[in-house]
Amino acid sequence: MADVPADRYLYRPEGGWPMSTEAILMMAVAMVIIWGGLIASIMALRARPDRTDLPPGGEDDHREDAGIIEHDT
Amino acid sequence: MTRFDSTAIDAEAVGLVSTDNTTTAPREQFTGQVGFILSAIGSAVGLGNIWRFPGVAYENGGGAFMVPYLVALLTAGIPILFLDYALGHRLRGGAPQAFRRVKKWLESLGWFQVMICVLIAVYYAAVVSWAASFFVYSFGLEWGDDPAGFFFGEHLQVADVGGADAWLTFDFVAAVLIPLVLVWLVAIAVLAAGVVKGVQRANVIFIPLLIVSFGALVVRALFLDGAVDGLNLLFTPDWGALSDPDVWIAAYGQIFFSLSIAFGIMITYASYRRRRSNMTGPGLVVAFSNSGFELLAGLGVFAAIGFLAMESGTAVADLPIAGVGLAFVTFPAIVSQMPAGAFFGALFFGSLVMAGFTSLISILQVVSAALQEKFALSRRAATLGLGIVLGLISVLGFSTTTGLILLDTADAFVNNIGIVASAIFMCVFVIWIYRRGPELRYHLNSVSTLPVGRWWYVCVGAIVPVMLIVMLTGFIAARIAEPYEGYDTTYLLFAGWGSVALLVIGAIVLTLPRWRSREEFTPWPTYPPTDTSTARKGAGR
Repeated sequence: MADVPADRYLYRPEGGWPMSTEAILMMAVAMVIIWGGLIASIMALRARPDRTDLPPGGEDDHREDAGIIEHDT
Repeated sequence: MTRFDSTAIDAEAVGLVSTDNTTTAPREQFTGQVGFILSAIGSAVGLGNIWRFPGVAYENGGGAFMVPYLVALLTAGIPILFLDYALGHRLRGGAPQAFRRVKKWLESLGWFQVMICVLIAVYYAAVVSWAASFFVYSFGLEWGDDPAGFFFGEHLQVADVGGADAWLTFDFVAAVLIPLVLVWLVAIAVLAAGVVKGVQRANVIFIPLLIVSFGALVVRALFLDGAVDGLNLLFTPDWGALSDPDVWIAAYGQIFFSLSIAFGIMITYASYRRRRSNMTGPGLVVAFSNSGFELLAGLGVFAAIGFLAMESGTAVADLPIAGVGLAFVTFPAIVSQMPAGAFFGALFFGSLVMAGFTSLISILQVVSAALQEKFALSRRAATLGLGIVLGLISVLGFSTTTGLILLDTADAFVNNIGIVASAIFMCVFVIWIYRRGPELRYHLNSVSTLPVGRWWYVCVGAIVPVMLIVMLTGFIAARIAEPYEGYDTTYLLFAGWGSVALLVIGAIVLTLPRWRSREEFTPWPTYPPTDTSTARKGAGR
């Protein structure tokens, strides 16, 4: 797979074998697509967290954790 | 002006009445987008992200593996995640409830998924407990110069199965049993506290902590001597691998097993979102977070392995690079040779505990939700019941000297047959037979900011089932041709195939009793849409 010798761990040059160009390229591509995709999806969600044109209805009951507290006035 | 019924709420809060639609108490809900996303990430990011992805990528083409991996993410991972979300969010229930609302008899598929969670939970808790023990051992580097001997011999005291000992023993190991009981107690406490005060709160605390601690570990690993050698091995592409069908199957398998899809978790979590909630936008964040964490794990694990290979003068191929061996043998060896090893050992095993625990509670929530909904149980009654029963099974099966063998066998069969079959059934019945694809797509598009195109039908109706059928038949054929890991065939019949049989039997038995909660339910938004403007916004896009 790699173009470094099979016994690279036994006969290692000072400072170690450099990372191959192909490996650097594939690492960069993976990072850009996956972490870039994550950042893009977070930014898109922050820009538009929810639909503002939802169909009518679909109101939930509230529960004990985050119910809207309404008081008689 | 209306006044909220505080009596009903208080009764529900202390667990006296059901949390679902059987009483006046409404369904539990995540408080918002962040809580839901962190909980879903907590479920998806688990032990497999840390110990499975790096090894799978290395063995299947290195850098070239990223091509099938990304294709699998886009054509299988995200589409099935959206299918789970659509089912849970539209049909407002855990797996049995949601499938029952597709077709009454399909409740059994929901219970099949619940049974998968039951079986996974009992052994997954054991692995979390090992990680917790090793977190403590890290401070004194207790494994010394022989991590393998320490893990298999001193900690687990693995029996000599196939030799002097039986394949299944009830010789309990205190060092495994005590942490395992503690894991169950904490998990029960979290579930009993509810979706917001328990599940969401645990994830809001643990997920940021996991990212920071694991991130720090990865950064340190990247600066170790020899780290570049490890990264070279992981990312140097073998383009020839792309023509190997097994590499593509491995990529689909990795995406499929790591996203916590198709066995009820994402259906259950989505059912706890408010109806008027964005689903696909957060879904994309969850999917990319899961893959992002896997990539981070790949960098950290291979940088550390490169360091160990250099320090010990061995080839990477001779080291355990995946699974239990990577976590509990290779990593302790790495930690022993690292500067400030005790600290980084604690970071690694602490990360494993957090990743595992947040996944464990999501698995158990599937079981709890199903029991609450079908049998009209309160949250606390369901949690306590499942905690005692599953905790006992977990302790009996996995804190003994044969626990590791049973875990390995059950894990292989439940994942490769149970989850894969569950996903195939889901696609075939929901999409093909009962034709609910357009309705579910309409639902997602009505509430979400990211529109789902017609490509989704191709993914969940064709690509996913075909790939999974290939995976399933391949695994079954391999198991028929040769015993799993060379284990005893009688043992495999009970522990392996028996686990699969248990999934089916459990699904049938749990479907039979009368459904005790109320049946009235109206999906929202109405489908097919009556209003033309609504129709334009939905499926028409």
